[in-house]
Amino acid sequence: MKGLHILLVVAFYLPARSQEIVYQTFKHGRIVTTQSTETLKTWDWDFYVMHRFGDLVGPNGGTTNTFGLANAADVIIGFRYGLNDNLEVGLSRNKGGSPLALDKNFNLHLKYRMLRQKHRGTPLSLSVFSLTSFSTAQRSLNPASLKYFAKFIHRFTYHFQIMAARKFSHRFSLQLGAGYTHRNIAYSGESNGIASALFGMRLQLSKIYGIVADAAFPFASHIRLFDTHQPYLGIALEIETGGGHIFNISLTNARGTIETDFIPYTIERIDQGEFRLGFTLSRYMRF
Amino acid sequence: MKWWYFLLIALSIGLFPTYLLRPLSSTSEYVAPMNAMDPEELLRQNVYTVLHNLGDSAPPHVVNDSSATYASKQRGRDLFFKGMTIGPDGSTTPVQSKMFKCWACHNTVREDPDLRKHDPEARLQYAKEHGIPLLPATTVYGIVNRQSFYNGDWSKKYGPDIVAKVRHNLRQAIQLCAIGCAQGRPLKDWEIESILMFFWDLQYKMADLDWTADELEFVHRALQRPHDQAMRDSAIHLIKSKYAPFSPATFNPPPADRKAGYGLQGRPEVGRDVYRMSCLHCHKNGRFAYLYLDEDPFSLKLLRKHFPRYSRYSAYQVICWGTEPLPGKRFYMPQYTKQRMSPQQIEDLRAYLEQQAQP
Repeated sequence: MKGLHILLVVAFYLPARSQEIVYQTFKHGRIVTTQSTETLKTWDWDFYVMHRFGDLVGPNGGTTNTFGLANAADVIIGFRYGLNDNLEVGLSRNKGGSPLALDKNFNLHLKYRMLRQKHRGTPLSLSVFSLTSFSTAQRSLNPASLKYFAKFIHRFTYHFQIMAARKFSHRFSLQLGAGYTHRNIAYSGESNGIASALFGMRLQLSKIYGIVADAAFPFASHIRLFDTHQPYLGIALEIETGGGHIFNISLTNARGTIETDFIPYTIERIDQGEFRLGFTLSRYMRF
Repeated sequence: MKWWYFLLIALSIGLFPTYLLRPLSSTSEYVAPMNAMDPEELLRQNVYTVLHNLGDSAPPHVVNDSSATYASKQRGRDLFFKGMTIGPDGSTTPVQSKMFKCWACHNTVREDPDLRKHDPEARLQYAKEHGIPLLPATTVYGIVNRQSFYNGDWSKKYGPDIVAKVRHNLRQAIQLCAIGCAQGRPLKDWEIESILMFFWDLQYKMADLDWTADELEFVHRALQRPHDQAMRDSAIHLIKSKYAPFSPATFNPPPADRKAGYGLQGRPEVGRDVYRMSCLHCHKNGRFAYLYLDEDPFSLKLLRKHFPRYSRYSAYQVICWGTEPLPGKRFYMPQYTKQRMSPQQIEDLRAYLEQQAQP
């Protein structure tokens, strides 16, 4: 009996002691625009604002439009709250980026971290994310428009995502994910559901500065504009001041800021100057 | 079933409400009469028990049965470590502070080798040997044996009026700590009593004090002579001379020339201990801070870079003055007094960071 007790202690207690959790695989819940595996700590609030400007160069950018600063492609303002260290809920409102997508959306999300990377233990973090987006756009009179809203439920779009990330060192983190986006209303001839592959990485340059990049590749073979459809690509300089503030200054091709927008509806081509500056301001709070 | 089974059940049911209503514990358990006792057994006694038996007056923070309704040591322990407990109505209380727990700044074990002195150098060595952190506030071990709180320069921070109210009132001191230091909600009376009960459990033991055989024998003899008040008073005085009645607090301004520092030679190996036992206690993995620190080069370089600067990111600045809580950002860093971290230890920390930055 005593031997069994010792065996149990060695098998469970000692490894648990030595398995220290790896923190800050990414510094924010979003990498550039896509979700990271990170969730907020218990009781933490995160107030964030993301902004995507107009095209940097090309016919819609350049000096005429002050390199896109004259236009706001999308703006999202939102809160996130940590229900516990592994579960967060968030509410946001975005203008709507792509002209093809539903706009004036209220978005509710849940993110749950199922696994946390540990030193000498679990090799990666695993999170699931779900998003429900509700469009408050005015109804269109054009039956071909998504915003015709023949049924109330057409205002809803959904996204589900699973992500796995590993912090390889204090300098480098990598994330892979798979997503599924469901639109209750899609353009004629398109499928409602779109699967996608997601990638993200972080290269930390110093305690304060880091480079983050992400990408989303939709798999659907029935996107109406498939020939012109582009994968979402983003890169940003991330700045953490240490006082609960995270900023980033980004370059992305997508106009939208939520998954139900930039995954199905990114048509901007980087080689034609259709990429834009953007920024994210994030502040963690506790009341 | 035998008749006495029914009797037992009836008694249990009948007595159960008295179980619920009882004060769960009180200081009275520490003042058991001390009859014939050998000096060895005397060492196992609580200091307050001995003082009480010698006729010393009770401190105002004694928890008596009337003040202890709904209070319990366990609830006090919960509040100290978790910031919440099970309330009298059976439901979980609101968390006292979402920013800090008491143990962010206070140890619950002895941290000074000599209880009469507040020597940061000796404490560092003692803490290292015993695996405890070096924190900005004094340990609550033996706090009930102290007579004053928020001493010295704390009146500069909290104001003389507020400090005057709490200086000789541990209950008020706990409340000030809850609101002012932990940035949380006010504690209810039963919560304060619970914390006091927990603190009474952490009072000094006679064995914690540094005795010679003659001194211990003297106290032992005084206990056997209930009518020799002069001898008893001497014994009380002797016991109280074995520990400091308060924790001094002297603010330690940053050096005027931060590049030159305090002009002391830093010891990198000691600085590493200071970093691990002080800085990382709160900053590792953002336990009680938004600034995540670790022993990775990025963290060390950040601190080293700002150390000699005249900015709010300088370690001189935040160690000596702390940072202030702001609306929406109530996490702040409490300051270290000279008695909690000496200028020499700050220089040691700087020396460690500079050593680590070298290729």
